[in-house]
Amino acid sequence: MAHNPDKSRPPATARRHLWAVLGIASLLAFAGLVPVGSITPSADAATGATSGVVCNRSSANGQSNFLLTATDGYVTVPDGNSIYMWGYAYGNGAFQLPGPTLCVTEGQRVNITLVNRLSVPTSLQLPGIEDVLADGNPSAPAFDSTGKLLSLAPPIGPGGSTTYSFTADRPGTFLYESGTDPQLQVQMGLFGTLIVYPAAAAPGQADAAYAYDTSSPGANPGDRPVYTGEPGSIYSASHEYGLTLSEVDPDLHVAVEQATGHVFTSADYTAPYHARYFMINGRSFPDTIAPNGAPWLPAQPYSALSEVQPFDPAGNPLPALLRYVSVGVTTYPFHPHSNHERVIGVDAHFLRDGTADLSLEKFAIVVNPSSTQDATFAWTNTEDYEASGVPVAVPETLNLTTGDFWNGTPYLGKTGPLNPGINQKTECGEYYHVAHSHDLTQATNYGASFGGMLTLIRVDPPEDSSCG
Amino acid sequence: MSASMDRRKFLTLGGAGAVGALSVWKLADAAVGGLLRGQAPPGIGHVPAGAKALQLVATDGWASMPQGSLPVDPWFPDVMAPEGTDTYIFGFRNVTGHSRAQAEGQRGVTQISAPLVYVEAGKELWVTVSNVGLSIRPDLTDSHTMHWHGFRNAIPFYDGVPESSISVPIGRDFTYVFRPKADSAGTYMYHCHFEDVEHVTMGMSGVVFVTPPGQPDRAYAEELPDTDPACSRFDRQYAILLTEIDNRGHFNDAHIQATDWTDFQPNFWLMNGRAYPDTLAPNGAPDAANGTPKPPPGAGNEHLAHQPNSSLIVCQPGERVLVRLASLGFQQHSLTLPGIPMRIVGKDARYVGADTGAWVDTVDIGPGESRDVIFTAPSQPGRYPLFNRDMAKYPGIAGDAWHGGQRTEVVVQSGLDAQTEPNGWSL
Ligand SMILES: [Cu+2]
Ligand SMILES: [Cu+2]
Repeated sequence: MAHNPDKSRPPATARRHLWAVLGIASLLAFAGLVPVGSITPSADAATGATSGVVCNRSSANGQSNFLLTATDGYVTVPDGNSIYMWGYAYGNGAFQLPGPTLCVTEGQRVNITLVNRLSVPTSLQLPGIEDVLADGNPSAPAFDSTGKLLSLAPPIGPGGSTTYSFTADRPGTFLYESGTDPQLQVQMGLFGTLIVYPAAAAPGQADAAYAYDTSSPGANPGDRPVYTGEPGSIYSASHEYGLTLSEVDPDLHVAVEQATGHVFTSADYTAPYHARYFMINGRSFPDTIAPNGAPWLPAQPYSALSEVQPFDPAGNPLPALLRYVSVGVTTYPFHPHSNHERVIGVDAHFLRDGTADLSLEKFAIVVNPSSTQDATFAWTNTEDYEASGVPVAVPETLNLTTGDFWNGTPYLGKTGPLNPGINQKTECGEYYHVAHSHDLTQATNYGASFGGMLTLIRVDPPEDSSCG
Repeated sequence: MSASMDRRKFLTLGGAGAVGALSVWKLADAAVGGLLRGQAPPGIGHVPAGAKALQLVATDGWASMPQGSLPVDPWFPDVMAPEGTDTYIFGFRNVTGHSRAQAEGQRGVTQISAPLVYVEAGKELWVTVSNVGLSIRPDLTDSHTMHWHGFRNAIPFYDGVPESSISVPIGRDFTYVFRPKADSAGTYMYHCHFEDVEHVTMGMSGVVFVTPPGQPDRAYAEELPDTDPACSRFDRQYAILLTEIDNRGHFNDAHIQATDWTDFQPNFWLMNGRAYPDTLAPNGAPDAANGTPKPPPGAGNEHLAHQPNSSLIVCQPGERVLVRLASLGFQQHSLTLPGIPMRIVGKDARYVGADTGAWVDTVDIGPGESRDVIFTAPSQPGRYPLFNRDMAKYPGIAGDAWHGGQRTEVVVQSGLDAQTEPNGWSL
């Protein structure tokens, strides 16, 4: 969960181990896969956290220096298919999807060296970042002698490298992606997230952080969220999640794989583009809820499970932060169930105009291609049915169809039996809510329901008693 | 049904599973009888004063696309369709107040879109979903659910997601309790979440909205004067649900074929379960005595018995009209109303007020989103088309390029009675 080694973070708990084991067992059973041994997906991923943003930081003397390698590899999807991809490795490490999450601080000079180990020219573009230099010269689109666009950034030939430099002059969520033949190369997996944390000191409150600035909420008090009345950009540093949305046309990837060794461009693929797999953080459900660094997903290190506890003005006052990134070719209508999310930033711009609060509570987070959104989320146990009981008699479980992510009761923190043959996945009466693309054809694995661009929001009971 | 699993279920269980489930229905009958008069069944609980209690049956049936639509061989029209229909559907029907036998008698006669549901904030809504099974596919033992899409106070138990909650097997009832809070006014939608991509596109989708406490003529709780652009007061309100139909999936479900839903490519675009020009036909009402569907009044509407919800917007010059738009299709849509500026006052059931509201000529809306839009009817009586600007994808027929698409009209005329129910439709 925690991204940020220099901020306080709750220790890994027994429950998280249990969850990881449970996840492995059930997911292996589902996908029929064999674990291939533990890996460390990127520099400082071994934080003990099972979900949430995994930051790669490389800061010295007020600068951040990163090395990325464009290379190839394979990812798995839950129906057992294996898909050839291109992607960014951290340093000289192994291929991963998406690329490593790079974390820097506002005001820092950032240097990203990209080494090209692909058989095609490539480059890096950073939408929303200004005055990027490539090896000291302005990183500008390249055209051939006839005026045809070659690349959105100076192309790097196979085996070559370029260092991109810029100043991270405003906080927010950015993405990086290929600037060369992006309709092919981004689809192939050349994308990742860049997070710029604000330079302002963190709030005094334990576990609190700002996504943007420290300004207090503005006018428009009728539109306050139910959880704090203080939206701003404050959030719980231990509840920061990244959700990178993408899709895959497997036929295109087979064509590229078979062409390995010579230059393959989007112009060489003449079949109609048709996505069949839909992903969050390079994974399709149920892999999306597997822990960070799950050993059976060696090239897909990032979990998309988010975990919260009920909002409590005294004990749990801070919302979670979700950083949405889209690298797809269509707009994704992402729908988190339960409480709405409050969109506080779009394309790394805080939704604030002077004192006017322009943030918006939404039940559909609509993320455009090459765009990012930051949303805060808190879950409020509004009804408190645990105290009153639900107002209807609950039918016997045998008279209902029961889902394996149901705790067997209407109540948070309670458990009851599910029907025979259902392998209950809850641990301590926690709730699960789904969050998914509401183009429901995208909430599938190649057309099969309850897959694809779908993940879970885990709501733990307040006292976290039996949960560890 | 899932593409492969239910096929296996079918092969192993054959008809036995379905027969077993039907006998369970008989056993349950005595226990839930009281429900059918809009009351909670004995032992289930008491519907509180001021609450609304509804019973919806979930089943299958047949609907009709506009007369004269071009065939899409072999998918449309479906050769199995009863006379006057052409497309296999799943759906919800309102049987509140009818007997158990009448409710069960609706198996195979469902509707699209689902009944329009609304409730005042602060009051409870009890919705009993009764799964009466599928007439054409007795091999399918699909459960159903009701998911109130966008409802903020849902516990998983009442959220209708089968995997993280419960769903309602054939022959069973389940009562969902919703308690919209005082600040939850706005336009939402509801749909079945079981095998969601299939059940939603088959037609198990409708609009549900919440009115602000004590302010039935406002979309949101505010008291701004009419002259304020952020004012949400209206004289008439109309809810329109946007969906699409790919007849291949509907045909496959009727003919026991699997569908790869990533192939989805609609051939009809619907408003309230009808494609243009059927969108303009009046509302249809079932037989009050026994709940049997009846076509809307008027010649040429005989094929619309299972699509009771009109999209025609009728208003008087100068009136403020609220249009509640919700989308449960899988595509992005842009609706335009040439000549009449629209003001967005709500998005996703949140008041957007002066800062984030906007005057628009086109309303963008994606899958699972809602928009509340207010316009002032022009002083000039007439017919003003409201349509999806992305009309190039409509099938059309010779002489009518709009045919089969998302298009309706705002009809401005004098001498109307005051509106008593949204869409002129009463549950
Ligand atoms: Cu259903
Ligand atoms: Cu939904």
